[in-house]
Amino acid sequence: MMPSAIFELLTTDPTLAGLGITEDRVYEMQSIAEDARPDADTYFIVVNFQESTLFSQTYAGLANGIRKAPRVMDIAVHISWDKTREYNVINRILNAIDAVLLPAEQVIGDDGIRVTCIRPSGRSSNQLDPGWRTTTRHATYGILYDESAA
Amino acid sequence: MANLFSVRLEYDDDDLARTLGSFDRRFNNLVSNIFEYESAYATTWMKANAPWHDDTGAARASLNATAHSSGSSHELLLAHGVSYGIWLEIAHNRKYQILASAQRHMANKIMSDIKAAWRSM
Repeated sequence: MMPSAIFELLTTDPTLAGLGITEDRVYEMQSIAEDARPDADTYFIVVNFQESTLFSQTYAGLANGIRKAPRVMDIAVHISWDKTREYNVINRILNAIDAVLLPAEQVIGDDGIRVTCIRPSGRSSNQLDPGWRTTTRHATYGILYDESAA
Repeated sequence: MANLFSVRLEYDDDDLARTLGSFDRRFNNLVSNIFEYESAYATTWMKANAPWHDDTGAARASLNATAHSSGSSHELLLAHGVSYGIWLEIAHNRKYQILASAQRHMANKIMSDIKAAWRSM
């Protein structure tokens, strides 16, 4: 599960809502059954929490490394390629996601998990997803959060 | 005013010139060794962490990493060995991708290795 603060930030922003990203258009990757595309006929986003790789300075021979590494999170915007193969709205949604997430610091969600900070790590090229038959692009972030904040 | 601190350096000119002259070659040899070692590590890491359930096992078995070094240029190639590898990487919101995760993982690991190598010179 992603920290609920992320979901709450993404689903309460008026700019994203104006672009069609409402509560029922935000999915977590692991909540999507098998290989099926979410049942959405307009833009939707998929949040995927990936690895957190710790290579502290201890590994490289120093003893004062911080034993904490950011978790990789990517957020993809999709729309059926039968609807459009334009990326303008996709880019506006990605920009709006940046505007919501990047200023967030020390945000505690309903689940008590505190998101310390979120930093951008870049965006993908314009892509087509041949499995879901969607036009898509994703942004990658590094996120620090504290599960014992509650 | 009295001198409070002084340093005396003694070195052999020829020895210093020889050591500095061979620095690039020795450091690049060290980095080449790191890439060779990490190519084997990356291959194992990808096979262990590929997120799909095997049907034939061919996709997992064919994952491979290869190191190439030429002078001061070093690269680590991460690749699938089956024709449908690209499908695994880009379809279904990249649900079955492994190369991007491996790239991030190995980049961090290699940079840590190189920092340690630099200090050892």
